[in-house]
Amino acid sequence: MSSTEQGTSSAAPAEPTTAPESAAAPEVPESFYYVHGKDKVVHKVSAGALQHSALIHGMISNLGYTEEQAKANPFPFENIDGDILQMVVDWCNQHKGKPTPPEDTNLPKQKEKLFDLVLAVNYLEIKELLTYCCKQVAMMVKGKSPEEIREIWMIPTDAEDEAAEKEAKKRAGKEAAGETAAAAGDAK
Amino acid sequence: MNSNFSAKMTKLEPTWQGIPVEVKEIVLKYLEYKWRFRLRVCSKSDKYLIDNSRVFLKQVELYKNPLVLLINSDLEIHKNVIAHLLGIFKSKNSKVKSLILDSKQLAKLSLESENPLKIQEAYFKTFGMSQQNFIRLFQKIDGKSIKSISFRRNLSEDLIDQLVKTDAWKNALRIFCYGRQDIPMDHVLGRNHFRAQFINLEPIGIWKLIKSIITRDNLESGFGFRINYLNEISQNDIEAGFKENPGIVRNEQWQFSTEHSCSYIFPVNTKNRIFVLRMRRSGFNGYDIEGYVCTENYTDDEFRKYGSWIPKNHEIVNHRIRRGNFHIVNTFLNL
Repeated sequence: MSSTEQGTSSAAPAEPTTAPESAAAPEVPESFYYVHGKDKVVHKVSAGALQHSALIHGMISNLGYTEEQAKANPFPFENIDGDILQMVVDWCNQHKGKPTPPEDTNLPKQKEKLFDLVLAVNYLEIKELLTYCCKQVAMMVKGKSPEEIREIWMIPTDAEDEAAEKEAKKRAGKEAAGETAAAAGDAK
Repeated sequence: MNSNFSAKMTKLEPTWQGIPVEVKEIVLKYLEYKWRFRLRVCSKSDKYLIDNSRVFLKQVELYKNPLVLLINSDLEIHKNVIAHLLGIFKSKNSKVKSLILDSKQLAKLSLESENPLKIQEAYFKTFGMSQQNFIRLFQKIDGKSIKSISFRRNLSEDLIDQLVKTDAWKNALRIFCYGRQDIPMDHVLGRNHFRAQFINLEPIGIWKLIKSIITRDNLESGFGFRINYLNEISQNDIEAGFKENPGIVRNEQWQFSTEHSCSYIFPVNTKNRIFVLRMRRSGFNGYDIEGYVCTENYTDDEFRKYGSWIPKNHEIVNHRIRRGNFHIVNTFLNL
């Protein structure tokens, strides 16, 4: 149902195309909203599908946008990768107005994508999809040794973690010193 | 539209370390208990996470001789057993569906556990501790979570007096007392299931129990009781109670009907249900009186099904007792 098109900016999104709606038109015309991710691709999504997201549902419930206003004001999710947002939108559309099944087998298998999806879904507050994702994350390490778990979930050892922390502190200290010097230079 | 409203996510990395703790806790919910310990040794932060996150377990069993903790029937712990058991309840939101306890070490659980024990089904095989500690332990059981309580050993009169004052006793829908003792019937009324072994059962007590069932709403098939008793109660003794309530009871011709074996049918408040009461000489010792809510056109098979039903935790204990030891699998992990 959702289709996408490359937009130019969040303020002036490109006209998104829409797939034909179901033949049985509802009595009250359904309202649509627009979202885009890091890649600025705008997705047209029905209010019904967006109900899955407590965050977006809360935002749109009192907006009362006309179609034109909604189109002109897409919700920008700059920190969600375009392909991840596409997955989320597809899931919301597939499960619009339907009870969610106990399992969802269409989740990404690659760990990076899955963790990206977890973060996005948690941010958008899509409870059912978050549950599926968490189940999938748990399944990734079933029967694995601690070393394998570290590798699969990209967990640094304590030594690596401490070294990274020291490095970050050192970098932050250098940056702070640089800023102080620059400010002193400006003052002169 | 404000393009900064997704700033909340900016510092989060798409890795296990990067996801919020509340999401990690959801993942832990779906991670089998034994795999939690493998995660625990991955990093300091994971150790902290595991040690402080709530635990949902189907079954926890603690046995003595040797002291062993069995978790979900597939994890056996021999070292730091009590510390581990206490650790399960360290988070106040941890929940255990079925807890089977058989150890003197339980005193520690009553003394050292800070949080209410959120247990649905508690089975006390032995007590092995002072009455005071046992009561203290019992008081720690969360009254909102508990559904079923079972005792395998006798309860003294004094202990019963104190137990019946606890929330756990008051709220339990199922009470099973397998030691032989007399329990004041007023303390077991209104339960879905009650089983006990009495020395002296008074007919007035039976009538109280029957009345509490047939006057209840929303009964389900199988609700009822079974009491084994040693004193003799005749059909006339039983019927004396019914006579105060004429017209509600029907004496049913039953294949085993004799002076001490009879069957009665009572109407109940729930549609398409009846209450069937039967009394007969026990196959083991003394006599049995049992009654269950049945469907209107019940058969002997239906009645027998309710009579022979035993809860899962009783099955487990019986099975372990039959086998003579409580080892279930080779040690998976010694903590």
